[in-house]
Amino acid sequence: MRRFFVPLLLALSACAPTTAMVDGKPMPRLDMDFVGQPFVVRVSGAHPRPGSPSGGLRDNGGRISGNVCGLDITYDVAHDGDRTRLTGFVDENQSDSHLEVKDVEGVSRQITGTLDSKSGTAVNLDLRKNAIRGVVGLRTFDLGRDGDRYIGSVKVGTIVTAATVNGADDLWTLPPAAQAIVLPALLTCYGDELEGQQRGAFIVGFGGRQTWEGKRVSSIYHVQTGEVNSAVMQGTQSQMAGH
Amino acid sequence: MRTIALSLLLAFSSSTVAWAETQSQNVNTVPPPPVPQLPDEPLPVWHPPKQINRRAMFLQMSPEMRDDQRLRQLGIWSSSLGWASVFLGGVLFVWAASLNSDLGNPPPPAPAGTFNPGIEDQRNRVENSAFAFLGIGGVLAVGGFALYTAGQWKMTAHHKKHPDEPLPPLSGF
Repeated sequence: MRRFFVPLLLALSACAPTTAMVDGKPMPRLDMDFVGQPFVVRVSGAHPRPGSPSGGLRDNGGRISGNVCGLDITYDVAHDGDRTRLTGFVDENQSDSHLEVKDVEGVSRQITGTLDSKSGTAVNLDLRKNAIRGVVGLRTFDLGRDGDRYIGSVKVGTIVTAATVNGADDLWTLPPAAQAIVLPALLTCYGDELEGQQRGAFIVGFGGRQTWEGKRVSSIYHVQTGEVNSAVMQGTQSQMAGH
Repeated sequence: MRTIALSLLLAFSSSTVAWAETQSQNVNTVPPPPVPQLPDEPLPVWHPPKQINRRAMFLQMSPEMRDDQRLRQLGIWSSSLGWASVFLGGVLFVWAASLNSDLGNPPPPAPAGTFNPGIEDQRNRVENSAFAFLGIGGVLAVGGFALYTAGQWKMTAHHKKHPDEPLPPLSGF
């Protein structure tokens, strides 16, 4: 599917509009790069004034591509009135990815959808100015704002460890559509340590110096190794105890 | 009675095993800090950044692998230049030898045994150049080979650590 979709996407992006109507006037669309630890994304042809993702805008939102935590991402953005939709691909997987972002009551930005349907990595995040809570795949995050960072915990199966997201101010320099893909993908980092080896802590960041992460360290590649195995083991033990 | 005791024992042992597993796993993790509880604030309105960032690097391979590849390329170029320099030095040395031969036995029409200081100066210049090219070329050739070997060694070590990462062309894997 990707084989046909990507050339089609490229062909369509070549014909993508270069301006967007803002207050009845055509304004040039924006091309921006954003970096962090570890990610780099390019937002191409973005709407110059998207406002809130639930602000009622109905227009093409451009394209987001790059590498987040070793995952190559390519997304099309569509402003769809009460929400912004992202459709694209993650890495070389043949399965597609759908994400949605909407604002609730002006204080909560909710990011939902499927990051990678092949591994079944579902996303349900509640991003607030002072907190990040929710689930990405088998991970549960509970972070609160502490200056220019979010600190708290991530629960991965049976382990709970410290989690830090640096660059809280820089997180809010990303347009909502970019937040909707970068944040969930970033929260899958350290899969080789957390899911694979059941150790370590979680530290990622927005802004600052760009860093790079190797392939297949994201938790979408480690769902079978840690949590599922321990769940199977526990299930087996419970069954044995029951019998 | 025995059944109740057995089931209690089993339940206790399984919960103890689970608790011990959790404890042993948590030994390798970092205790999470208390989560700050701040009141909700309105979400900020997004504005385009005043300065568009153009410093981003979209890499096809990891920076470590890219640096190793650069080291290898530097080694190949240095070594190539070095061997070319050695070859040029060899040519110059042969020329200097020829001039030296002319110095002792000048070609006609000069009579035999005639000393020409101009040819001697030329021989000296060519000979010095030959030695310079041979010396510099030798250092470049050996240094380039060492750089290439170091780059390849680092690349191999990195590849063993991260076998899934993309490799540069002619990486040897």
